[in-house]
Amino acid sequence: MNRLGIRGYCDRPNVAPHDDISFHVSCDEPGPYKARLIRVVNGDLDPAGPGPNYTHVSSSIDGTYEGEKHRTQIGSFVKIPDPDGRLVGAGSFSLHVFVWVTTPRPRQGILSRWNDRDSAGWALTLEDGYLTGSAGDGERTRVVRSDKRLFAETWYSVVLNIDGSGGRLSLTQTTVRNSVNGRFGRIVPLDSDTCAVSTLDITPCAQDVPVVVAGFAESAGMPGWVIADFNGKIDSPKCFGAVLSDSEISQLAGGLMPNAALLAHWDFASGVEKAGIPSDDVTDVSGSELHGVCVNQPDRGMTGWNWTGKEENFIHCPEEFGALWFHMDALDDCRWPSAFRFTIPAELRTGVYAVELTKGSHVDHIPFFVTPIRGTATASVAVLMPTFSYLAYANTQVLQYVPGQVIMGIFATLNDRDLELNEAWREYGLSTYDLHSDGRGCQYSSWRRPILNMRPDYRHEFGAVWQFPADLHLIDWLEARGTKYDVITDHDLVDQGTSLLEQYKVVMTGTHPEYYSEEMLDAWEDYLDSGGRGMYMAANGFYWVTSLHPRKPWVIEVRKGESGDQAWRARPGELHHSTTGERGGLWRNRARPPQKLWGTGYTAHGLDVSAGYVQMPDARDPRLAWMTKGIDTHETIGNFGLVNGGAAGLEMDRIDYALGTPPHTQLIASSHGHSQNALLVPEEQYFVSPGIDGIQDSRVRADIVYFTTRNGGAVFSVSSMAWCGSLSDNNYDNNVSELTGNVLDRFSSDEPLDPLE
Amino acid sequence: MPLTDPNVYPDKTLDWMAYFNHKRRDALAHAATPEVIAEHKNDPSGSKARHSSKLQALLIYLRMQPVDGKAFVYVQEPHRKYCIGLMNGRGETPRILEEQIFASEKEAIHAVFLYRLRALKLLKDDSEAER
Repeated sequence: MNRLGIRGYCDRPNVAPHDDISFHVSCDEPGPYKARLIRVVNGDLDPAGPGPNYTHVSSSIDGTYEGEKHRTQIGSFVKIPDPDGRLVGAGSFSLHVFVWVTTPRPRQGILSRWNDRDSAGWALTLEDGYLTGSAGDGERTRVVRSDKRLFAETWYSVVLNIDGSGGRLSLTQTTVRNSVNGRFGRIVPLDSDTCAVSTLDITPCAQDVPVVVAGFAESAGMPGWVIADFNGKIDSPKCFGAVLSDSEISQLAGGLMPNAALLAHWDFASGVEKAGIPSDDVTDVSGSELHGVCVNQPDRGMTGWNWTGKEENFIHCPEEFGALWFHMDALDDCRWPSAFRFTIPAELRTGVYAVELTKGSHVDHIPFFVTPIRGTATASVAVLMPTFSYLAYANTQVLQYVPGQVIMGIFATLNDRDLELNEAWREYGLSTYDLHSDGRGCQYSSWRRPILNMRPDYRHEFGAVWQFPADLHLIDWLEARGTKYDVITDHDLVDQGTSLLEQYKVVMTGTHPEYYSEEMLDAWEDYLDSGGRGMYMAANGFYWVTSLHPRKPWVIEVRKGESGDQAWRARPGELHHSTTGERGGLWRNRARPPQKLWGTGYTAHGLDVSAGYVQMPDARDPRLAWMTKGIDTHETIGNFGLVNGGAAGLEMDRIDYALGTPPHTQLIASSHGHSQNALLVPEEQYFVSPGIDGIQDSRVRADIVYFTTRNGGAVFSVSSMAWCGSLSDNNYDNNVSELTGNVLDRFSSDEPLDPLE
Repeated sequence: MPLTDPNVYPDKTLDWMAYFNHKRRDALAHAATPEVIAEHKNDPSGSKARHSSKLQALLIYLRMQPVDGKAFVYVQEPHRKYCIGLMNGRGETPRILEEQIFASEKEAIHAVFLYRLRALKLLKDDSEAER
């Protein structure tokens, strides 16, 4: 983590006048750095385009600050304060846990009250694949180690007896398998149950460290770093003030509670309600009130040791979903101290902004969005910046994995930000396109970390501008043509719903609003149904079910599966969101395909070459003369552009009446000329077959469509992620710009659209 | 026979992959013809004309190779200066080959193509690459 010199993040993506925003900065070397506020119009460095366009805005941010390097707590775990030392482990003490490891190496903490610097306390760990129990008094350590390594993704019931009175440490591991709860069926003849015993002639003693599930304390006191993070599931950890007998150990392995002195029992499913378990709280149900808190968002709502496979939604049967899945590379907040804060001045114009950080030759930009004062609009046009989708893609590293380049049909072109993400991936956290180090898909993504691929000048490893820098092409076009617009975000839409959209004559999407919550879909549907006008400047939008963490609005949750263009697939029984309880996956599979709102929905991706659109008969419909004004009947639309040479490309949508395309939809134009690397998306395939590419399959295309709604409303969809990359061609004088401008002018007028029949 | 230690059971897919990769490489051993190389050099992205099936088969094979040691285009200065880098896997620092600098991404992509062909011994004669 030393290529970039300086990097930072802000605590929220969207602010309105009078709101406060905090910035957090870490430098590789100590020393001063400069910060200033800039307004961002365009960042694309492509010499064929208009070029970067930043304007310094004088503000209280401007100045020189003292930089330092901040450590980041990485890895998910549960921390349970025990200030009174009730679980210190002296005398007769034992612990029980169900555990399901995913990467038996390296050293990992499972359940501990351990000070690693002083080797003091007690800990159940995994060492070279073997369960290990340790007790230390700060000077001496005693260890008991299993003689059988754990099989991955297999549930074990584990008891560690710390018998100070009897002078024994004993460790018992018992497999608890059924047909569905792990990797192996019951027919695999595992011989993995065992019991190990060693002598205990010391009294474990650790002051001022918490109990930790999935790690242990680096040292006593503050700041309380947790190390040896764990990969895998842990279910129902408990502590007893007694040594457990063989029969009691058997009872625990069967899910029964022995009649022993229970000191603590953390039930990770406690708190599950109809709306999921949108909380970091961990409840001690023993009555001891030794409650804990999750750090770095372990996966919640996970199938537990006793999952039977009969119920797939954790809210219906929480007793079988008592596991947390921990990852040693999880990150929900860097938690760096604030470097400086900024209160948005009342006079600051709505728009895209960034704080520019400069330290020597190193520069970073931290983007954020300034909206109008809540409940007000300053223009008739709004651009809805897809902040959910920015989060979903935050710090993706797709091309550094084997399939990525085949999917994209390109070789990787990587810059220093990509390399830093690869070298220090744990420091930056993952995107919902990445796999955790144990192969589990990353289902949470956080704003509170440097998002290196959400920078104005970033060219994505996919080979083109993508998401935020691509959306700046739209901002740049609006600025170039002098259109007054407000900037709003997905986060505002969740917060304010339809009332946000209803302030505008027309709302334009960004280039790839792929991640959507139910509230956001509802808001659009209400808006379009009540006379609003929507311009879908994108493709593959409104696709994945996405939820915002109700208590941590900087975190989104996504569960991919069972179909779709998937980076990973949720495991059986784990498709429901922990933060809402709703079914994840595609909106299409929840009866809300994008065709219902926009006329088109995701059909193909083609990331190597883009194409132009051929006009269809509806383009000559005299009722649409206002739309095609200035465009010759035979012109190919958008056979040029900054994104792979065409306006139709990257990802594309098409009409599908069976999926809800309104019957009166006008098909203005469809793209043609895609490559053999442009392919039909998985949810469109049933039996697999050859020939599903841009040359041979008619469904690999983008459709430009238009239809009207009630009360003078209308929808215009370009159905391509590459569209906005063509707006600036020939100094903004081109048919993509013309068509977009015609629609925008008509949609932003007071006059209702003539209803199509 | 009971199974006691997960570490003693190797992934047999590796046996198959050794065979498959051998067969696949043999099938492509003569694919990097001067014509195919010239086609890639002229239009690495296939933007002027769609790539021929021979070049496409070769490209898919190259892109499917494991990440370790895989060549990529490294951006030294956007739109001005590129060179070849070699990926070393997640968490590892790539090796940057700075001895050869390319003024355009297109040239660098072709250089990566040739580098991967050479690394897989699919380029019989370097003079083919120069044609």
